[in-house]
Amino acid sequence: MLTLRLPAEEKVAFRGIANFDGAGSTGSPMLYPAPNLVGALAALVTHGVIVDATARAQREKLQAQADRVLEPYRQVLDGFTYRELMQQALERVVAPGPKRLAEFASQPAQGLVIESAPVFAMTQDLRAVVLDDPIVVRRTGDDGKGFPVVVRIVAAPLAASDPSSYWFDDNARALKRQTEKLLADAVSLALAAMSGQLPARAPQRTVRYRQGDEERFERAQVLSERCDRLLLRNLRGWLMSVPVACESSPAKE
Amino acid sequence: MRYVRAALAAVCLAALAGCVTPPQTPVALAKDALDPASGSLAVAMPYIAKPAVDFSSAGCLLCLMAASAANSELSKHADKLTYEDLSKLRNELVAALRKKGVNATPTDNVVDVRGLPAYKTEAANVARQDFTGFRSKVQADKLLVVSITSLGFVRAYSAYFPVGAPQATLKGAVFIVNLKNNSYEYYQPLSFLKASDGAWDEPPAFPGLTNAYYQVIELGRDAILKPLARP
Repeated sequence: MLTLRLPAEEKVAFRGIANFDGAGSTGSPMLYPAPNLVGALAALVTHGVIVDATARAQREKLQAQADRVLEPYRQVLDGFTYRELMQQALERVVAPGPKRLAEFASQPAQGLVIESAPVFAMTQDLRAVVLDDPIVVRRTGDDGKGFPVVVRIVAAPLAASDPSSYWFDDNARALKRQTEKLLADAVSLALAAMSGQLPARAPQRTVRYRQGDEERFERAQVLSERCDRLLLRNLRGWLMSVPVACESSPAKE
Repeated sequence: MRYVRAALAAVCLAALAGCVTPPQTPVALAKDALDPASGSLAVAMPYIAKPAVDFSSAGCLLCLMAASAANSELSKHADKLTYEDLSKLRNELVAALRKKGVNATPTDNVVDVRGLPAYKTEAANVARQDFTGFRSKVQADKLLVVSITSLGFVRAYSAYFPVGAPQATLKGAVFIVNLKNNSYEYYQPLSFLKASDGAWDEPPAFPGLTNAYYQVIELGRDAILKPLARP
């Protein structure tokens, strides 16, 4: 029996992908009056508080700006629950035996239990969805830490001429199907990793892949290669499934 | 006395302003820069900076000491990083240029260009250092130089306090200088910054920042290779 446990949150988490390159890259001199030692210490503390607050505010602002790409669709996204997502995804998971969805607080009686907290991100050009999913796989009765793995899946870049309509028309039907597929793939990968089906080690190299219209790089071990997709283990030990250009396959999944 | 001091200060300021050399602006690849008829090309990569952490914006001596202590783990990690993908770049450039029909040869006879004597000129797009002395050493009419002057990580400071997270950095320049008249036939400054994807403070291996480091190396390689290898 394979059980997928619902997370504590109800609504599926969606955010925009932010670019933090260059954030906090310029300092400013500390210019405060410091007539004596006490004054100098007070100036130092004040400057530290201001600098820290400014840096945090800058990062929050960048993330908020990135999240704006999803603002026009927030109402549709707020209606998408983890229950709906996981029920559909579970049917696609590649695993033998029966499968069921369990409530967050429940204690399944037998088999494997999968805890998953998927977060989806959309590129600014609306051409790709990225899933980051911290997963823990446990056997019932196992009180230990189980088998933890973080899985990142980058969907193939969308070729549609109007990505907004493609994803969000018809109550975001296409986006929901995409997220179900990504989650199912993540769970299948976690199960494969747990059962030792993936290579333990591979040479490290810098790999290029597409994330929407952007070319990205990742220093990783390449665990398996397909014409249009690579499976990697990155420097953090995460499993990453990323799209690559393939002349004989269409770009869109 | 007051007027004498003011005059002295004004003279010093004027003298110091005269010492400031404006940075070289980019020069688009000249049409005949890679034309075999315009001469042979030696390709050199005399300097790749050792990976390190730059927190020089901390300013004061005590601030620098505090920053050094605060970033000691990251500095130790930077010391272990390699740049084998950059070392191979010179030969990759030669191969790509030869494929286009350019008479290109690699050369080791170019030392760190930062120590060259000055070349007196006010003309635009003429090198301020004298490269003409290399003509006989490299046996070529032009010299293509890739110089990586900064590599590793940078963290901006305001006095004792970091302004943000460290980021991976690569800085330098790629240029073609005509060894007959010291003029630039191509000049492209390189400056890349990449943040860690997610948390950065993960000692001892700093995987997020290390990944960003390899990203700036790839960005640098692309910026160097692609304009010159283009058919």
